[in-house]
Amino acid sequence: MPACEPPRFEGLVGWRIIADRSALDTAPWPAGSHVVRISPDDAFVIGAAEPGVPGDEHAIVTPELGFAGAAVSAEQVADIALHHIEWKLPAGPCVAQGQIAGVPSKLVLHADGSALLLVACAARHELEDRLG
Amino acid sequence: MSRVVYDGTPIECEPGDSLAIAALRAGQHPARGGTLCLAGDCGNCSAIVDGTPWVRTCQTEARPGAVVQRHPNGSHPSPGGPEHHTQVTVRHRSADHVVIGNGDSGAAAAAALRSEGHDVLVLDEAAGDEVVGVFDGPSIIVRRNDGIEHFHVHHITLATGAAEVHPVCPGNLMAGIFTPKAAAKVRAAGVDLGNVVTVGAELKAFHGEGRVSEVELADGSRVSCDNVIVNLGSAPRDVLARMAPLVPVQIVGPAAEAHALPAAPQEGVLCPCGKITVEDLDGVWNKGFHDLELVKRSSLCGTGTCQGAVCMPHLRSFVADRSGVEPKPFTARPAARQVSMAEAAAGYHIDTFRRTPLHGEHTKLGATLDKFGGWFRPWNYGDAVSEYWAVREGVSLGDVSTLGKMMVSGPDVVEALERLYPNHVHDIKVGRSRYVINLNERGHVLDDGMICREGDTRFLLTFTSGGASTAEMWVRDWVETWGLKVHVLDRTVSHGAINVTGPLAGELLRRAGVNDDDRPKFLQHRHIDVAGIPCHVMRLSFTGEASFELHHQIDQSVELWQALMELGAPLGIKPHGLQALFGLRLEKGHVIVGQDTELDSTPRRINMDWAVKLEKDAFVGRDALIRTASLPDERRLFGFTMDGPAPLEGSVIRVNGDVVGHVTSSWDSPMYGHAVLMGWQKRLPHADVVEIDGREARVSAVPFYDKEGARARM
Amino acid sequence: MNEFVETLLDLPWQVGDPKPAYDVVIIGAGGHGLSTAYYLATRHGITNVCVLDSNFIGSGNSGRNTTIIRSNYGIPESVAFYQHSLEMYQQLEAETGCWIMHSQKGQIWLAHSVSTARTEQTRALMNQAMGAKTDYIGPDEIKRLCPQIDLSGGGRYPVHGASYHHEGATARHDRVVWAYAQGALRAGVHVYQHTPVTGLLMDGDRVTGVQTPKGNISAGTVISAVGGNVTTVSNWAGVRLPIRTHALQAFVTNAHAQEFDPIISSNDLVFYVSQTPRGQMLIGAEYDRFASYRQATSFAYLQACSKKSITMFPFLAKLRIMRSWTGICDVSTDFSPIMGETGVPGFMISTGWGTWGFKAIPAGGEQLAQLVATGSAPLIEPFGLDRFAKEAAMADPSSAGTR
Repeated sequence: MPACEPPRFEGLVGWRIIADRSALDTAPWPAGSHVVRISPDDAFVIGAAEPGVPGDEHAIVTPELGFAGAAVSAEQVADIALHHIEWKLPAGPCVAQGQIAGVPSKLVLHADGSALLLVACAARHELEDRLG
Repeated sequence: MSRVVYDGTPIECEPGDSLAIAALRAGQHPARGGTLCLAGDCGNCSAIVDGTPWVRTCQTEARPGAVVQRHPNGSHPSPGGPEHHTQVTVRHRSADHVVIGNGDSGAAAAAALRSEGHDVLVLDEAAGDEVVGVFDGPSIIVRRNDGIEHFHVHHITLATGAAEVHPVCPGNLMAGIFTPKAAAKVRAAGVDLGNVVTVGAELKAFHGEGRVSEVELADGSRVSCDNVIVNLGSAPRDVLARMAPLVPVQIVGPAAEAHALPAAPQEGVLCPCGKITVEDLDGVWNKGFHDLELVKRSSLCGTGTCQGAVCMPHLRSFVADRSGVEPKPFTARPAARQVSMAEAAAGYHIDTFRRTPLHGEHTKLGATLDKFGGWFRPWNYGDAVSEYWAVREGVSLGDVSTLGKMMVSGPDVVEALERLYPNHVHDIKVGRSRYVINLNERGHVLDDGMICREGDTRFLLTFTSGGASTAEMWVRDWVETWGLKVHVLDRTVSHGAINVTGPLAGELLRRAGVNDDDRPKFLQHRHIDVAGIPCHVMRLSFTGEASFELHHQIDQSVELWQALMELGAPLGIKPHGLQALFGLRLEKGHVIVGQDTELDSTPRRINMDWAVKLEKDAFVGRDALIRTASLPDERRLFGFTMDGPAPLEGSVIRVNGDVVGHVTSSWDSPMYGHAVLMGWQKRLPHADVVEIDGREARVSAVPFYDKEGARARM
Repeated sequence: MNEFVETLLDLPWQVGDPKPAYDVVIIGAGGHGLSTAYYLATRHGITNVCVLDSNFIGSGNSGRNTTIIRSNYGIPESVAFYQHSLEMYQQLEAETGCWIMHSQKGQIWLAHSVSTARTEQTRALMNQAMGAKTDYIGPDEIKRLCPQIDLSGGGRYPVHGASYHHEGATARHDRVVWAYAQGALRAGVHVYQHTPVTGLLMDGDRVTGVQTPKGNISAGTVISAVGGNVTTVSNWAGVRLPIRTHALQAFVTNAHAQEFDPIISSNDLVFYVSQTPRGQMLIGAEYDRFASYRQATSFAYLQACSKKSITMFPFLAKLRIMRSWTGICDVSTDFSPIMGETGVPGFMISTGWGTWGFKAIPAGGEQLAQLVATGSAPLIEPFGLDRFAKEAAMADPSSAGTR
């Protein structure tokens, strides 16, 4: 059925930051980091040393190893959307969240249509089975 | 030329033939008789195609090698036996403007929209697009031979045209009767219909043996023929519009036009699906069933496979004739074009089962895994009793990664937690923990867990595995309702947790590099390395023995588990599953929310008033508890003991023969050699001695085990 | 005439418009409203009764359910009530002379996990204690009773066991409505279709009648037997109900030969399947999570329900969906019905029928009639509205989700 290669997931190592929206908006993210804004008060920062959030003394900053991720090409995104996403995919760049093949997932969509597909490690096996 | 097999006989077919056309080409009726519309509206050409009953052969391509059987004569086709089904492809698409129908009106509507610059998708039944239904959204579901398509759309134009009216008269279930458009289709396919008679409203009856050989007209004359074309006009094919009255659709062409009803039916089968006659309608009418819906429901006319497509004009005409008022058509419901359940199901997944990071370890250890609250968890590793003894007398590991784990932080966090929980929160010292229950607004117990204070304005909350999925919503809803400033991070799935429990648990930690002085005391928590792995270690006890919950990052769960199993081997370490855990906690009298509690269990009913501080100003459920505190309350959870074997969980509890409640938890205690139980008494006065499973049981104070709680503090 | 038509009894409609006053006016000519009227007239000689409906008789949930009759509830009070109703159903054809197509099939309630196996075992034990015939059975017995089942549940939902409710049955929903309608009409009750009640007549805090387009009708007692919009009606009397209304959908396939004997439900998957006397496979599941008064069908429901069904019964995969429908269910906070006095003099209710109202039609009507006539009806006493204020809820969620 799938015209494309299924996504290949790996455990992601990053930081999870829960803080005021304004603090996250202005945080000096470490060079080379990739920041996924899950919600206004919630950021997932991949590939960096511990980030600081000077704007919010109450920020929660904690290592985050709960996600598995797969880099997916624009073609793969289109194929997954066609067969596994009931909701209408927005245009990137943005973070889209919802069920993919029935599994709660996040798609970090880039401007060129490619994306980083995120899923909780606990449900990774289900998503792999269904997209495989 | 290719072939299909029709009722065991191979017949030739031309490229592009539908199965119905192929049958007609071979001189046969595709089913057993009845007027053919060849437009997918009626059920008169339905047959079993490749094992699937009720397939409209007129809508189904005659693929070479297809096997068709007619439905049995006079009875329904078999649903077939157990067999496994193939996956159906599903496609999710979007479209701005959709035009359903590609006839004259559909093509014109599409052209007009395109000329205005719109992107238009035309769904054409002739090209294989069968529209199952129009739904809220708006969305449109389309069945195709290569799968099922779900469209998100913005604008819908219905150009579904009109369906031709079938004749109702004696003999109308015979073969050889066509609507004008059906006849045109057959002829276009190059099939010779022989001597054809075309009739209209002057039709009185068909005569013949199985197929029509003569047509009788109103004037009594009879005309011989091979086939008959009956032209009785048409009725709007507006079922999709009537199906979704709140979905905005534009209807164009004949589907939108008023059509005169046919003359009131006099005699013959009105409903070919159910073989329901005009006599039947008269029968129900004369018995007092006068509403169109009542006529339909009492005669069953319109409730067969075509859902009224054939009979509706005649049925309305019948009611109009008898009552003097022309009734509106009855409600249309999906499916407008039928889908198989496999096609409907395509793309759906019932649920997602989660695995803890230790799933592989449990499997290697031979655990029986079962689903609890959406997670796979070990029920036992082969022998729950030996797992029990490992906890009571040695040391054991339990995978508690499924516990709800939430970090909360912020200037208002103490205020928020004081309002959320019925217990005091402000006086929990940093590094200390407290057991808590949480309530809904009705004062009923929702869940329980721990509060661990990490700093002045930072706490870690735990919830039960079952409560974890709704905990974040519960906390956020209230915090946002109150407008308090609290950050919330649910880290249930990003942190693993291993419970090290048993009198030798401290010894195991010692061997894992934790000095006695460094390890937390009962109801304390501390960040320390265990076997070289950073852990947040919480002291509390569900099993009744000294217990250390090691919370850690999930990428290190396996390493931590394996290190502890290896270090614990000389101590006789065994992991324990939920079966042993349920017994261990029962001996300690700890309730499991959802198993021992009910939907409306107040803290009082489960003897947990001690976890409620009504002197606090406000917390969720306080008003309800204060209101109900003065009410007489018959319902109470008790501990019981009785001789073994332990009765089944769910056994009723009787007092003087009357059922007063049931057993919620039951366990043959290896420690005591008798059964320990929890269960409800819901009648006053509460008895000290009750009957369970025909035997005597005595109310017992809980905990049954280690009443002073000394072992948990070891 | 076919058998189905031939066996119908006449509906002996009254002549003319409603009288200005009745002893009892019942709002809603569904199963509960009509059975209440029937028992008032036939058991208690109270025939000066009028039943009003905004549409035709049985046009609400009475004609939009899945026709299951069972008493395998989880709390003693419910088992006693529904078992009484189940036994009344067994006698209904003999009593009314109407063929309601009653068919005892047995209901199997599957468990696919340790926790739901405990629930089903608890159900069986409680049922036995209260006089309902329910046993806990294992996979072999399930397979014997229903050879079409895939005991592995497609590999994901292996069957641990089930509770087997021997007397679980079905009956033709419309014919139950008509049985009570003709019996009530014959006994002298008036039944007016297409006569919506638009408001209540009040005298101080007392309800004294109803308003309709055909004029005001006064009544000694007004009973709301409304389904779906009960909160609107009770608001007129100032009665607040702990009820939310949800849509419940179901569907049937085309008709097939009779090969599927029992009614099968699943505790974990929450769906149920039976075969109607007409041969259709009838499939339903839980009500929509969100509250709604709409009787619209959603494809998402057909999708989920189909998937669950074919997972356990692969033969269903190729069967085609013929028609779906939706009822709107008044669900109380404890998933049990609310019957009897409301605290407002002259105003009684029969509501909270959620997804389980059909099976309660005989006993619900009989008991409410008894309450009106004699002031006491022990079987429904635990289900009074005052239970919520008394913190004496009849919580039975495990019996309620579907059906």
